[in-house]
Amino acid sequence: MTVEELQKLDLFKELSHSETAKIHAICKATKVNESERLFEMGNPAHTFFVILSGNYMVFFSDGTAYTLHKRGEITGWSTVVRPYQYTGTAVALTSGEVLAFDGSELLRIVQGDAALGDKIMGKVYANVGEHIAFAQSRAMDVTKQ
Amino acid sequence: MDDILKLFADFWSNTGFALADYRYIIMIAVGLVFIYLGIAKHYEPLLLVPIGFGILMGNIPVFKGLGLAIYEDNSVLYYLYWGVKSGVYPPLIFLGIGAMTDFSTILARPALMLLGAAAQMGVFLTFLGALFLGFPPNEAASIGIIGGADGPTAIFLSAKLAPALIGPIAIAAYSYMALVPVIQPPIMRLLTSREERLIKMDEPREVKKLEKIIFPIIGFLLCCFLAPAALPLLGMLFFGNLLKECVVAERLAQTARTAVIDSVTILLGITVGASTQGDVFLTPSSIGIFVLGAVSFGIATASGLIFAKIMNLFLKIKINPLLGAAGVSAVPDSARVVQMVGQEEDPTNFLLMHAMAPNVSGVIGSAIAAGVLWSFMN
Amino acid sequence: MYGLEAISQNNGWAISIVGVFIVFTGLLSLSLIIRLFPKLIEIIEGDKKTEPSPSKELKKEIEEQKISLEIDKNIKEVVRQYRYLISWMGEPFSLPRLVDLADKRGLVRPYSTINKLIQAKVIQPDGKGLFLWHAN
Repeated sequence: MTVEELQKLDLFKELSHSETAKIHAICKATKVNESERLFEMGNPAHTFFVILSGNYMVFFSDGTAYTLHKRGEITGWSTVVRPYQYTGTAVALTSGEVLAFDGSELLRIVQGDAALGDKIMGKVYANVGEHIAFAQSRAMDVTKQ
Repeated sequence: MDDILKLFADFWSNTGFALADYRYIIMIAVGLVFIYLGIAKHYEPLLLVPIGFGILMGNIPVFKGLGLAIYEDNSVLYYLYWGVKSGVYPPLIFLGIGAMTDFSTILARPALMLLGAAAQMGVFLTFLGALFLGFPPNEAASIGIIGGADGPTAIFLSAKLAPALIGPIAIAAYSYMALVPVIQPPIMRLLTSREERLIKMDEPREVKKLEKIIFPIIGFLLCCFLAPAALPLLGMLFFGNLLKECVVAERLAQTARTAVIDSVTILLGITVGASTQGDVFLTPSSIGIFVLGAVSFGIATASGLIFAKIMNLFLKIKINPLLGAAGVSAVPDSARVVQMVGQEEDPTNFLLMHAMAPNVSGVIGSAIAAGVLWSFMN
Repeated sequence: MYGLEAISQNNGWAISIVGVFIVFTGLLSLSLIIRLFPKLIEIIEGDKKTEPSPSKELKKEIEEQKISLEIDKNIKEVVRQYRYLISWMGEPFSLPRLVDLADKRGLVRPYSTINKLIQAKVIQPDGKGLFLWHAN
């Protein structure tokens, strides 16, 4: 994926070319197969994913879940949001492709560049706002483990 | 110094510790058991947890006259309890039930509705039993409706006919509903043979959307013309179902089966629990109600099973008589029990879908029975 | 007053017999009317067939608005199997649990099948993390 293609994703639309280039350096397009898990609940949040294609389900220990179907949707955002460990488990419902970002590198960029961090976090919250409250209410179970 | 000691003494005399007697302690223990059953054992948690905590709230000994207890005018619990006494909460719960229930199993095989009717024999036989034990007719009718295995219906009828018995009747009804998986299976095995339990049901026909839209309208008109006193319950049940099936009002249906039913369940559970104050609840009549409640569930189960066996005498294609037990309208627990008992004999026998038909028709049947009893007692 | 005398004194026998009769009559009547529904629908839909077919533009619009369910072989059987599972679980149900149950029962490719049901809005979220079946 090129920097220009990355800039077309909603999450990075407001970034300048140089900012997007910083992000591009830490991401990798990865193919996933049906039933493959992107991350497991309770594990340290190392990787942040942006969906390029395919369909996914994120579920929690109490059996609740939500699904993701659109290009540009985000999952694994506990990488940049407390408690910095996955509050749910993400699994691919169909084969597809995701953009994986190294979590610690992304966090370093976000924490080190307030303007860039503000743009990305604003987009994250706009994109996943309804899921954050839902998942963080389940974060209690994870952090107690 | 004397003033200070007197103040402490006055304060102590107003605490729950000073005002408590053994009846409150017993009821607090009952409330804790309900909470335990709901949380640890997952027995009807949406009902037992609010009711259990309500029992705790209702049995904190308080100084009468401060407007704290549920039976005191102007207390908060008194106002919240109004929805129970006036019979407002149960129809709102029925609205939510209608909005979450799929009646297509009835539409696919209408004959199974008769099993729901048969199970309502439990209501009337228990009514006779209550009269036999010396309960006055209005109380006997309220006790009898426990056999309908429908909590909101039992509370609705008790509120109209015997408000003083709402507490024990509700506790009995919900307790036995939670114990359906324990009460029903032995009766089901006793009254059916292995060959009968192995009967596999034919695939139900496909039901069209238009049928599901017409049904609540026709069902409401027919049932309420026949038993107008069932109007509050059946009106809301069928209205909720119409909201669900017509699709254009999905937002209203969604609200009915989530926010409305959950809010009312909370208020109903906690206030019904709080109404079971030790000095009101722990009476000989409560024991009678509990005994009759257990009997009513057993009779209702047996009636449904026996009627299914009678139907099989006339049917070319037999039905599995276990479905009769699902006429007890503890939705969907009794349907699940049918599935479970059927699968003990044959793990490939999926009876759940078929059992939902008598299960939901039992809800309609118990509401009609309540309406009939209310009109007779008036 | 107790016993059979109490029942007779309060008209208990008559109330019970009439009450049972009314409940049976109500549900029997309803079941007989329901048996007529397929014929009623036939009449209504029979009228609809004589209506002029929609214009090409309208047809295209309707097709675009439809969410298409890829027609797999035995799709009805698949849908029925999932419906059974969901009825056994109760609604609203847990989606991961449905996947797990489907997998244990040997249903083929449960993840993508469930995705298709979601895309076709047969399975829909209830807003609280659980899901509901919307049968049509």
